[in-house]
Parts: sequence; C-alpha cells; structure tokens
Amino acid sequence: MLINREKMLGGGFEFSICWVIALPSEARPIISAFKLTKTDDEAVFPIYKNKGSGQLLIISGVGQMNAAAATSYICGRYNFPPWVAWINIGIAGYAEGPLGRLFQVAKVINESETRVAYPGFRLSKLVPLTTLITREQPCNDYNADTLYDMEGLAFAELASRFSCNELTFLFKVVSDSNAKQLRRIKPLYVEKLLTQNMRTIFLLVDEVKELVKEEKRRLDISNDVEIVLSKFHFSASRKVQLIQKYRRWKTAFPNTPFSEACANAKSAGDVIHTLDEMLTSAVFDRPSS
Amino acid sequence: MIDTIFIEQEILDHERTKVVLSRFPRSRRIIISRYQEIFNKRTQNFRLQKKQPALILASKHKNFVLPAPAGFGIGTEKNFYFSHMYNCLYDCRYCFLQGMYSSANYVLFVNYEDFYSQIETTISDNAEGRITFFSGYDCDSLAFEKISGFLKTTLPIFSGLERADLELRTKSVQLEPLLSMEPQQNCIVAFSLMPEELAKKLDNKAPSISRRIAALARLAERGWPIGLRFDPLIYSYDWKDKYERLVVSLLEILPNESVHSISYGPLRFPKKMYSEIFKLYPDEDLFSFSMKEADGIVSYGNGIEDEMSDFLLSQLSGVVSSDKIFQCLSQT
Repeated sequence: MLINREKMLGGGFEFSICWVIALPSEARPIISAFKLTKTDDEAVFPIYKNKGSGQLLIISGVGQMNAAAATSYICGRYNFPPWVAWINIGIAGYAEGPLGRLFQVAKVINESETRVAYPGFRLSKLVPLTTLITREQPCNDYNADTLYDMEGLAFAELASRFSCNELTFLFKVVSDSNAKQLRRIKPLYVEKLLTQNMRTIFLLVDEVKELVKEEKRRLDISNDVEIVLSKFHFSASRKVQLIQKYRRWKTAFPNTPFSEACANAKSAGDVIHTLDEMLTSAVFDRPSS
Repeated sequence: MIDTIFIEQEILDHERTKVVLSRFPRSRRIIISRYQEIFNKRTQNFRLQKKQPALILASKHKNFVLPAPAGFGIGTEKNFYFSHMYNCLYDCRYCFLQGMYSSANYVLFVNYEDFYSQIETTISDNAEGRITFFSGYDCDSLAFEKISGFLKTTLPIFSGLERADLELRTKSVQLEPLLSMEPQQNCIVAFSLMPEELAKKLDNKAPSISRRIAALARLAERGWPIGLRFDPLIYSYDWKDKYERLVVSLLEILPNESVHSISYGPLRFPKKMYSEIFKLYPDEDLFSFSMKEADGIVSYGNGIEDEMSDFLLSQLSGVVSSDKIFQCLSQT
C-alpha cells in the first residue's frame, strides 16, 4: 500500500538522479547544495527529494547490505524509469592522500576479488579515475592507488541493473590515509570534505544530467503512444510493435501530428496498419528528411 | 582520445602492451583479470559507451582463426577470418558490430604470434587450393594501425604464405605501413564504399568517400591490389543516380588492373541484431523505411535487393571482368 501511494506521489516527477549515500554527514552537503527536502517519515530509510530538479536521495547506513537494501527500496518505491542515473558518493580510505581529493571509481571489487564491477561513464576530464575495494569492516592497511569503502560494490552491482552501467556512478572523497586519521573521522569533518568538493560535484552532476537526457530521449515512450494505448486494446506484442513503429514513423514524419495520421483508426490493428502504410514511403535520404 | 586503458594482468609485461601504452602516456591504466569481465557485462549501455570507448589490452586464448560465414568470399573456395581486435573506431549506423557486443570498448589482443601460428596451421590443414583470410570482420583492418602496429608485423608473415590471400577491409585513409612497404599481391586492400551523400549520414566518424577514393587511388598507384566493397547496398531516394555516380568516380580513377575484386551485398540483419540496433538508435532515419522479416532475417526483401544488385552489375559490366565480381550474402 505504502509503495503504491509513493508511486502515485512520484507521478509527474521527472526523475533524473538518485543519490544513495551511507552517512547523514556525507548526505548533508548534497541535500543542502541541491535543495532536497525530506519526504514523509514513513519510509524505511530517510529519503529526500527535489521535484524541480528530479533528484532523490536515500541515506542507506553503512555497509553493503544497507546500500543494496536502500538502492532496491527506493527503486521499488518510486518505480524509476531506466534512464535515471544513480550516484553513490562518500568518503573512502586511500594510501596516498591528499585528504579531500575527489575520485571517480572506474573499477570496484571485493577484497577477495571474486566480484567486480566497472561502473560509470568516465568523467575523467573532471575527476581522476581509480579502483575501489569494498570491505566488510573498516581497516586501514591500504594498497597504493586504491580506494577503500564499505558500500560501493553492492551499490554498483544493483544500481546498474535498474538503469545501466554507464549511468551508475561512484564518487569518493579521500578521508584518511592511516589509522590515526581513520580514528579522527567525525561527522563535521566528513561534511567539510564533501562541501569543499561541491564545485566539482556540480559539474559532475551537469554531465550526468546530459547523459540522462540522452537516454530519456532514447527510451521514453511518447504521449502519443500512451493516448493510443489507452484508447484501443493492444496485446503485449502489438504494444511492442506500436512503440517501435511509432518511433520510426515519428523520425520519418516529424511534423505530422499523430492524431491526424491515425484519425480514421478504429482499432489497434488499424493504427498498426496505418503506420505500416506510411512507412513504406519513408525511403532513406528522401528530400524531405 | 583514449582516456582509460584496461590491461589484463597476464600481459602487463608483454612488449606490445608497453608499446601501446607508450602511445597514451596520460591515460589511466586499470588492471583486470580477463577482458570478458568488463567487455561481456550485460548491463552496459553501448550507445553511451560509444561516446568515449576505453581500450582493453588482452590476450586471446582460443578461436584465433574461424571459418568465414557462408556466402562470404572473393573467389577462393576456403575462407577464414581472424579478429585481433573487437570493435571499431567508426560508428556506422548499419554496422552489425553495434548489435554484436554489449560493449563499445575496443579490445586489442596483443598476442599476434598466436594468430600467425594458427593461420599457418589452418593452411596446412587445408592442403589444396587458395585460402582467403579476412581480417576486418570484427574491426577495421587499418584504422587502429598507428596504435596496434598489427599490419606491420602481419604483412611480412603473409608474404611468405604462397597459398594464402589476406583481405584488409577498411574505411580508413591511414595508409601506413602500406605506402612504405613493397606491395604484396596476396594482400587485398578492400575499401567499404557507398554514395557520398549516404556515407555522410551513416558512416559516422569515418573518412568521407572522396578521401577513401583518393586513398585507394594512391595504393593502386603503388601497386597494391584493391578491393571495392559495396556492402551493404543502401536503398535510398534516387539510389540509382547515387550509385552510378559512385561507380563512375571509382572507375575513372582506378586502373582496371588494380581491381582485385568487387563484392556487393544487401543490407541484412538477423532479427535479434536488428532489434538491438534499433533499440540503440530508434531515431535513425535508415530504419524508418519498412523492411521485411523472413526466416529470422530483416532485409529490404528480394525485390529491392535484386533490383539493386542488377543495377550495380549493369554499371560494372563491360568495365570490370565478371570473374572479379562477387555477391556477398552472408548474414553476419
């Protein structure tokens, strides 16, 4: 019931980005910068959103189990379309410092290297890329040139199923390089690390939004199709046909209103037939195209 | 520009790996176990990845040389292909590579010697007659040469293989090492061609047709046997006029004796591949026209295919000997 209600609440919401963040202190700078507000308190995990920018944020808690649960929970709750980008951002250990440096993760593995993911469209013009190891427990023996966290792998594996690999992003800020620094990590310090990277994070989000737009253009089903689907009964296979033929028709005849083209259709079959008829004249490279 | 190179642990110290890496001194390098762990992942988005492919350096372990699909050939009875690379620098809308792999990243196999050894085995296993090896099946044979140096080592191997021909299939105008080597009569440089107007719309990132024609003319002048590949034939508005102009411009510039072979083939896709490519590019005008599906193959249908083939042959007849012309009916 709750899920259905939230899905309804999500109606009309132009989803673009979903943030999955382990700690409130990691989330606060994002919530503030992107003007997200808390949704109702009934949710299992704290959820924030900004309807205008199409962003949602869920605070998962620490560890892979929590990250996986929160990712699945928010996806199910809001029934995200496949063009939504997923971002996990947070702190990570790194042997070489400097503290506060922001990375994009290009490869994430578990400690035993039995699981691996290669998330994200690489935004290497904005941030350096590196490898992340997701551990079950905090630890401070760091290999060179490798980040360490406790959520990344589970997030990458799950989020890419709901969207795609290229729209699943992991960004990590170096929080510590040794045991002493690890012990010193406090919420205010974490907030500061994220806040000092906000300028780059804004640029990253702009890039991500462009990719989301491109995917939305590719995958979104037009209102024209929705109207016809509600007007006539289409079997599952005819619905697939309609979606495909409509895209081809729209490409060939971008200026013709669909309602006009199908004005005489009295059934699903008529709509398909009309499209087929028109597409026989859609020869490639014709003068009007 | 390649910003990231994934390298299999096994070939980190391979000399060829070092050479390739030296071409990209500023790239990010990431070590992987096997190339399949990144290349074959199912949740990848080919279209987004194609905007910025990474390079994967790998070692191939098996299937170095495979029989060419039925209907694919330029005169010899036995045809094989090998792929030292997967994926292409270009982004041609009709290309089957878009529906073939889930990744748009380039895979380069650095163990060329294993390919050579298997090519020699294939020749000895097929004791009689000539054999053609096709190198441009899963990639463009020339486009990556500056990085891979594949031909530079492969051509000398083939110069010693008396019963074997090598076809280099390309849209590239990068002509080294061909221009600086002595031409080999068993190495056919085959250019994929279509009317300029169509190539402008479909052969994204590839050199224009006029540049390809200029390139093949230079190679012909040097003495390399040239292949002309009208595959696929694209049905379009005014197609007869477009193809006539293309053929005329080629025959004007290319001495008849330089033409090793001409092949042509219709635009055809296995149904599943067509569906994959359409999903990637649903707004591509090439796919608007109604194509037909029969026996799991999506095509223009026999009527259009035959009309286009007949027209092309009529343009070539009397100019190019018919024993140099081959129809390619492979369905990828």
